[in-house]
Amino acid sequence: MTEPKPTADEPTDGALIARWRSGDERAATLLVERHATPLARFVAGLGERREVEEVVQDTFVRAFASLDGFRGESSLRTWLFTIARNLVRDRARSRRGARDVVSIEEWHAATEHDALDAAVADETEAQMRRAVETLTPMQREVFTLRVTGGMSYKEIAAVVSSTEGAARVHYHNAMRAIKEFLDD
Amino acid sequence: MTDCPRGDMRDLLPDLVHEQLDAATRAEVARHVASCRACAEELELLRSMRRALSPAPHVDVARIAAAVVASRGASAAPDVRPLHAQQAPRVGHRVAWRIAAGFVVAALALGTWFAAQFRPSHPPVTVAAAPTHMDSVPPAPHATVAPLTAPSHSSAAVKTPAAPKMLASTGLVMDGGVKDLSDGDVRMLLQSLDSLSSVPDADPTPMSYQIDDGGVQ
Repeated sequence: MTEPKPTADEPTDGALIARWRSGDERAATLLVERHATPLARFVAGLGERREVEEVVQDTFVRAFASLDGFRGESSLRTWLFTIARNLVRDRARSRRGARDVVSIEEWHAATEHDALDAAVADETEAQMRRAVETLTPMQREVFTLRVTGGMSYKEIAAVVSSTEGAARVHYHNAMRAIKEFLDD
Repeated sequence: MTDCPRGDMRDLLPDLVHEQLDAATRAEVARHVASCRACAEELELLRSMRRALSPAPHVDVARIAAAVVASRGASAAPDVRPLHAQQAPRVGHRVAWRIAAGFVVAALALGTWFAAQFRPSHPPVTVAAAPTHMDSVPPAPHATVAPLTAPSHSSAAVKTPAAPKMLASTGLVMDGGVKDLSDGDVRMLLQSLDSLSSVPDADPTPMSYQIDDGGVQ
């Protein structure tokens, strides 16, 4: 996502990871502050309803528990998103019958942002959310990462365990499907 | 809505929305969008989609950070699930399988060892010894002939004379030693030994004798 990029004054993720490894617990707080909101947005974008914060927390706990094995071959952000995506998928799989993963619109209507969003949301935005719901899970993930997260195809490929080319194809297919939905 | 044939430009539109392009590329894409209706529409759609899909749900950053710090210790915070909860059973299964495999291997090895130790040896020398000497008191040498047909180790033939036995019911006496043999018996014994194969048969030759009060038939 675009938000977590550190400024010149802020330590990089790598520097914070090094500080965490050396025992600086404040580094964990800074990393969580940097990545939690984009992660929450991504998790919500995938349709996870009530447990967005739990998924985000679980993502961080798992990531930090394995941080010693993190070699920096991918960015921390990509790694976090990969973990979050897997957690969402696991939950969706295990709770498929319980309908805990619901439509974006349903989630949107249930959050505390309802009041503000309801004021600004128009029929077009509601249509857009419905359009995203028509996408396949992979298209939805790729599209969410690209459009709301601003990730590159290379980063998306790492998150969804695919190739850069496949991610590009999924994105364009998703965009085409959304346009067709909106044109109807 | 139509698609612009310039795929390279369309690929950059999300980056333009997120202001991730360098100045030169941004200017190039902006020029293209200004002259391309399809890309202009797609760019507007992307901005609308971002607005529609981006309301970030509230997350308690401090709580999450505390959970991360707490998980650094041996146990996680009360509201944090155990780390790698899904991986743990997998590791446990792996260990259990290894232990089970070890038991199986140990059992097989033990079984093999017992089988080797207590494998039924060839028929008792005393019985196979020699029907021809049943009622006599011949020196044992004839008894040593018996192993010729048995897949025994050659040492069995040597041991036999040293272990005199007497079957009370048959009166079969197995006694004496090499020193009691006559020259003819010794020659016969040596010939018999020469005829022994250095490689014993894999399986003993089936032998059946009927033993009753009259002796071996």
